[in-house]
Amino acid sequence: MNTPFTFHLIGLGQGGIAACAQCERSAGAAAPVPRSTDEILAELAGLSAGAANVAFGGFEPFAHPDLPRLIAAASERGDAGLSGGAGRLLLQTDGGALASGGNAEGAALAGARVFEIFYHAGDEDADDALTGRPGLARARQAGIAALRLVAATHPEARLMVVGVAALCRHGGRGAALVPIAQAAVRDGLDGLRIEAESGAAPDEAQLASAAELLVPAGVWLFGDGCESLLGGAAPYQLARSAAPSSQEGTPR
Amino acid sequence: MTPREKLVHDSATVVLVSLDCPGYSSYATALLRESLKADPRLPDLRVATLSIPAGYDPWWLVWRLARLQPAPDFVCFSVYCWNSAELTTAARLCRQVLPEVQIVFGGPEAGPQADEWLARYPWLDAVALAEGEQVLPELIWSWVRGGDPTTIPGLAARDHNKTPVPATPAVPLEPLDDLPCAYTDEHPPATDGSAYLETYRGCPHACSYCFEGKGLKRIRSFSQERIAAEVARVATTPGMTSFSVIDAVFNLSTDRLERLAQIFEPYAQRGLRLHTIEVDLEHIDDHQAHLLARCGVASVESGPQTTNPRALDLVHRRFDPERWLEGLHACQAQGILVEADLIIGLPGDSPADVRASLDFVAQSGADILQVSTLRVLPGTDLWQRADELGLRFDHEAPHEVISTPDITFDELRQLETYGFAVQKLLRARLDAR
Repeated sequence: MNTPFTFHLIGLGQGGIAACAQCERSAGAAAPVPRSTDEILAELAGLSAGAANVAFGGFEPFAHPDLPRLIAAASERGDAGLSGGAGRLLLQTDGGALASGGNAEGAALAGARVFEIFYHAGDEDADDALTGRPGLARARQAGIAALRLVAATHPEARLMVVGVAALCRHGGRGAALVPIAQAAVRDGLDGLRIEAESGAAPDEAQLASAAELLVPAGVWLFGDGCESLLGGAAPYQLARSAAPSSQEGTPR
Repeated sequence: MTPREKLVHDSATVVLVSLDCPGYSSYATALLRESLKADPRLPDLRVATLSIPAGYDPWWLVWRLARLQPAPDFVCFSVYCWNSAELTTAARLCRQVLPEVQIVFGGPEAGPQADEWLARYPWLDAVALAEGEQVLPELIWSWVRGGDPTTIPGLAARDHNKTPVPATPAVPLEPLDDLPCAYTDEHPPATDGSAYLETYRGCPHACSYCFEGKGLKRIRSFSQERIAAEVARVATTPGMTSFSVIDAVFNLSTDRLERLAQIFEPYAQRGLRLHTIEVDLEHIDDHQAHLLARCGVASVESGPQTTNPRALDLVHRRFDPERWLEGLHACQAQGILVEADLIIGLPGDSPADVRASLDFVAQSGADILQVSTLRVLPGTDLWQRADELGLRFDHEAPHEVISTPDITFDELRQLETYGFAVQKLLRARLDAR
């Protein structure tokens, strides 16, 4: 896939980002475990100079005890004038912790520029039911609002907030996309990426309905099953490390 | 009392109306104001400017006009593609609210359509095709002395029977040093970065989509002495920290850039910065980049508009990717921000070509990407060749392209949203300044 930007995904651990509870049970997911800071820093240091853009995922970043240190390390590396320009730092999160304790402002001012925030259903109650985390969907909405406030009050922290439509068989497969698209427009996202388990990608009609909501609102839709939108044009892709840690999180 | 009688007994009043982006005031209007005030034939003429923020309701604009004291005799509108809808509405209402007023249009949207607009809009009295600083004083002088404005070159006007008379060609204004300065003690430049300064008119390039050259084939320059005097006036304004320069190619030649560096450097050393300077990035080597830095240039703007050779050829534009990248890196090595511009919807570009252009800029390391949709502007080569090239576009301003032989309407709209996503992501870099 040819995309303008590639983010090199570094796992922060295993689990912790709210996901479909049934999928996690089926996969036999263990309790969330953060990866060791030294191991993450070693992987970061081992990236080639051309790998300018880094994504932290696989584990809820705001639950990692050393997140400030990890963001600082990625920021220093990304700010060092690498070939192809300076880097970018992406955080994958369920958004539940963004509104707490100045997390949104702290992460953004420390260097996180792109936030990927997971959606499982457009309706908040349905989303909470799927993840088994009551109140998470509303906390996510508050977290995105906190990011918007940071963007408004700190224009130097040029943020991009992308939703991830996590589609699975328990959440209605592609049928969940349109309600998620409505939520994405409501939340003022900059993009919506589809991450669908096998067999859960939207069909053409579902994709078209979602695109009709998103594209006029300036929200680009990309990811799994989006080939009919400009040939699957994606502003970025996530590249997993060639030698992922044994503790890297399960695919979402 | 007619404007002529008013001028004899008291004074007539000209109001120059501009719709401006927030934080900006029209440099063109300031030049027109000073040109009218400097005309020795019109010593008692009152000249007022009315700067209205873009998006302002035309009805309230006319309300503001109607409340002016003394009441306007002439109302002149600077019409661009982005304010045309509001200003034509305002002018039509103005005719009904102030029936005695003379209404004049100028600017890049109205000028190239002067004859057509005068025939189409019965409420319009005249349209300047040529440079306003040249035409407007002649028109006001003609009206106040009861002359025939239809004899003024570069102006479409009505004769005594109110019949529209097409414009005749005008000789370009020369020497440019004859123009008064836009800024005076009474009207100093803004110190918030929104001030402009003009160094020459025209453009050495002939890109098919652009009206910068206004149909003229050559460049006219202000003298070095005049530029130095204007820079001194602007740069020494208390509180001035940065401004921009109206100059289609600031690095037109190394010799000229060295002369400009001599002018700007003393102020740059005191911290003055120039922003959003238009350059030919392909011509910038380490020496030119150093000269730009000596000028205090903080940011430059350059194409490539597209990287597709077929599209470049169709719009008469050149692009050398290797030299463009060298220029970009030379600027960045001097701490100069580089903004790259891309146009979606150029003839010859397919969606895949637009994506390739976006990929190129994204991977180039440019600091800022500015994506815009093609506007087929009046007076441009594309306006003339639209049928030949299969370009469908909205004939009403802002004249956005509807489809091309290679991009459908649906794809264009999708490319806009996709382009803005790439634009936003490019800016989200860690060292963004």
